[in-house]
Amino acid sequence: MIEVKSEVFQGTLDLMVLKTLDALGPLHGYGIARRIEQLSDQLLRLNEGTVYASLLRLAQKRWIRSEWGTSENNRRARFYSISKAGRRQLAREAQNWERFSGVIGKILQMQTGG
Amino acid sequence: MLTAMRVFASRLLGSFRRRRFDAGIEEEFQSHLQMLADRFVSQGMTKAEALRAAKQQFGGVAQVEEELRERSGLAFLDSLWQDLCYGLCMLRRSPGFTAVAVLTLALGIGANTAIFSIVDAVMLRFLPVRNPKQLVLLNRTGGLNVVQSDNGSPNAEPFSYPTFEAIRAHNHVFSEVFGFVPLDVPGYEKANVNISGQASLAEAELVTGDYFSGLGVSPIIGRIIGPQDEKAEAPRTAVISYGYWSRRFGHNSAALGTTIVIDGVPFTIVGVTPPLFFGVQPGRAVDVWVPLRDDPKLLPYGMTAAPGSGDPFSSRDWWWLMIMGRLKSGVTTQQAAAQVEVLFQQSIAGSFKEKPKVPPHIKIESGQQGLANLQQQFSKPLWILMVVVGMVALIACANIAGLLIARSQTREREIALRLSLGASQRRVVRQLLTESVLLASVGGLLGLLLAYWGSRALLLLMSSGGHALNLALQLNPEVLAFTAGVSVLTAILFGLAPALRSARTDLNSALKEAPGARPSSSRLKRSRAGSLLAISQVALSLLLLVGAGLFVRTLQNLANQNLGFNQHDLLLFAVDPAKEGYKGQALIDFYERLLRHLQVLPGVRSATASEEPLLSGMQDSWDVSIEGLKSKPGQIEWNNVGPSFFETMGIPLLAGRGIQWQDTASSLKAVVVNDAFARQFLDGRSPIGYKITFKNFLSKGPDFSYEIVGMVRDAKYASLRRAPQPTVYAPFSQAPFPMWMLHYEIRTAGNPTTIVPAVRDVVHSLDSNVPLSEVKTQTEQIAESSMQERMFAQVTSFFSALAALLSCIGLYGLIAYSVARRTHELGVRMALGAQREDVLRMVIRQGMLLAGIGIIVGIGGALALTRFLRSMLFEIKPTDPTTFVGVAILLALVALLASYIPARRAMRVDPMVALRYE
Repeated sequence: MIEVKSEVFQGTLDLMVLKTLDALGPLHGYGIARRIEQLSDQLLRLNEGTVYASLLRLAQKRWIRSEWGTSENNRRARFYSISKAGRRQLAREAQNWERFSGVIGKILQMQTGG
Repeated sequence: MLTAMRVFASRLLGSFRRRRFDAGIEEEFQSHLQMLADRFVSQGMTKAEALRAAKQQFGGVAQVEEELRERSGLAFLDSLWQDLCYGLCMLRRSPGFTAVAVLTLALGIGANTAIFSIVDAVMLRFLPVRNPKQLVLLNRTGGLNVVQSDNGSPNAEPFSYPTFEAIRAHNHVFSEVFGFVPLDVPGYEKANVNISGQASLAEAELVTGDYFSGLGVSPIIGRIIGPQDEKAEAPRTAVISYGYWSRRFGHNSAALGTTIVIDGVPFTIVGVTPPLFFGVQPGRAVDVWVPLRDDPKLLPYGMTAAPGSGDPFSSRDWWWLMIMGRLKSGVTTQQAAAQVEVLFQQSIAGSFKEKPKVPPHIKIESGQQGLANLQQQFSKPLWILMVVVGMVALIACANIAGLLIARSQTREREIALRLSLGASQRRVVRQLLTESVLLASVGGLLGLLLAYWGSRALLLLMSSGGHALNLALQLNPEVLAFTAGVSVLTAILFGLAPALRSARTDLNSALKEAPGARPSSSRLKRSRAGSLLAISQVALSLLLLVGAGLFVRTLQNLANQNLGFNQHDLLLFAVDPAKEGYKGQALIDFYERLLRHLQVLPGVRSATASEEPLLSGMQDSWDVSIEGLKSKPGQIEWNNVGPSFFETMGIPLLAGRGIQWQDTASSLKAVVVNDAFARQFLDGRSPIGYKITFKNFLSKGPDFSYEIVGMVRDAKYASLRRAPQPTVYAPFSQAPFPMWMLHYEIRTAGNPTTIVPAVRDVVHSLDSNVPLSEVKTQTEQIAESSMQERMFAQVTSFFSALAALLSCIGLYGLIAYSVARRTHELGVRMALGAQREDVLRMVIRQGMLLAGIGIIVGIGGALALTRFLRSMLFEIKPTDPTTFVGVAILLALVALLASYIPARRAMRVDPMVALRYE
């Protein structure tokens, strides 16, 4: 079980939210939380409220847009969608992430005493 | 960077959309929780269980909401907004306090803004022209000084037209040089203007071709006067001011092409100047500009003919044109002065019949503010007024600080509660300061309104009767910035100390204490601060009262002094028939005929005339020598007067005879001198029979020579302040130079204004084209000449009364507060046998002690400061003991009243009630 709490994971969460919106199109906060839960095979437990902090951060940077709509079970909800700037940012971040995780992986695989 | 800016913008916007945002997340969260709960229900939970689980999985709803709220806006804006709302609420809750505070502040700030807007217009503002810093004014030191006057005349020394021509043609330092001169003596006479049959008066200026282009003033419609308009064969053109355009033409562009007849000469209006351009002499708004041309009907200063030598344009003796120039870029004032000096000396070489005592030299002065005569006249008065209103503002601040401190008692518990609930001290101070700034802003806005009226009222006070002070008072950015600055400064001044004190509240004692209980140590400190504030208010208002007292006494001294003539029941008026073509003997005949008619009017006891009316600020003086005397008296004051002048004015004859009808142009040239003349030049011997002469320096004619035939007692001439100088009175029929206009003085049996219609009829019957001007009584004339003293007496009296009132309110508030605080103590005292009178005396003693200290401090300050007023006072010492003692007693009495009212309340304390309060 991984807990998303500390500040370190803020950026990661933002990246996940951005990717989710990129992949699935317009989605409300609940849907994003479900999608992340599902994809992480329940490994990732997060306070779903933090998704909204992430959404606000992304919206303030104009990487996502939002508008009110009706959910599949007829509830009023705010639907978020990724913007052009958001896609560019996602591409950059994804690349960064791959490089970074590669480096981390290499470092963690170092032989002791070698 | 761009992203950071986007985030900032979004949060800034968020701060203003707080309510919408809150409602949004509320709804969003609710539907999220619902969907989550629905899911749990579908997995088999009960509704209640599902909701609990949903909330758990979501995380604390309130915390997330708060986090989002914080993130969505800018923290300082949000808390500022909170502070403002809270502050408004607090102010609304105590309307009495708010009203008093706002009014006090409005008066303080308004007074400062009013004076500052005049300071701005007179002292600080540049001419509204292109690049005013390049403008210079040609001035000179030394040389001839023919016409002198106390006020109204520009500070720029004039030059002869040939000098102007030489400078214009041969200089390499100016991009433009231009000359200008009023068509009539400013503040004394205006031009007769006729537009399509309607006659009126207007302020007119003669200007050379480069005047407008040199200043860089472009017309808002039509065109300006250019060099081509100076040529004798060019059509006569005129440019009018925006103000004149709106007054006479209602902004109608049909004004262009209209014929305007100025002193009988027709001109065509070709353009209108921008709204803010009034000419180059602040305080004098020019209505119409016409090209300066060699035209005998339109000579400078309303002269009907050049004295003696004829043409003013070729005469090198007659200096009348004021000159300004625009420096070429890169040319310094020194370089310009050096070159202009050479041209100037060449142009005047050999022109003096008699070498001036001090040879003239060019002096170049900054022209960016135009002619500086207003500044010379008003700079000191304005700075003094600025100090006065500054003190009023300080008193207002001290007053409100006192109120706030007294109020902080009631708020002590509230603030302690906020502090104990975790508000930081900084946050509390900021909250309290926000309230102060709020108060000051409302006060400042109201003050602006007051200033709008106040500054106009003040201008009226500063303008003497016929001589209106035309200033463009505007709420320009400088004035608004000043008001805002003063408001914020006052807010900090009166708000900071109470706020800091409140924030240091001792939580324990404040929360435990019941309201009205015994004073804690913080309260003792607070009452000490209150006492200090009350003392300083009393001290400052004493200072102001002393100043006002000195000015009032000055005004009284001016009014009550012995003028040497009888100012009552005298009607004055002037005529200028020369403008209608009367010349030489015909002019004198007209004057004499009019005088004879006036003398026989019913209700007239006697009538006379003089070239200069008395105490008008105008005077003639000539460089006179006395025959048979080695030492030359020099400049002597001179007035050309009519028959029975001394009888009419009530100036006693001491020896010989006065001016009579028998003194005509062809009779023996006779003059009367005053006592001061005999005392100063003849060691008190009788002056009768002595001959006086002076040079006819304007034409090549022989010297003027007069025989002294009489001596009169001294009387004031031009100025109320100056002691009578040696003076010569000559018959106007024998005036050495042609007169510009003649003033008549009529002594009446009753109210002098009642005969005005009859006088008008007489003038009309002689020549219906000759208008009367300057119709006023001698008393009004004197009031005009003491305009500045009157303004000071009135304005400082008003402000010092205001200051005294404010400081008494302050003192009253402090005493009332301390009585309320000591109710318990007073109850104990009375229960133990203190008499009501003892209590009364005790409370009054407290108030009088504060007032006494304030008065002593104030007297010390006044003794140190009033000497700066010395030059403005008249026959009173700056440390006049009567004024000081009188003001101190007055203030003590008012303070007594201010402490008596709360003391009576203290006296009525019922010991039982007071003790049961515990």
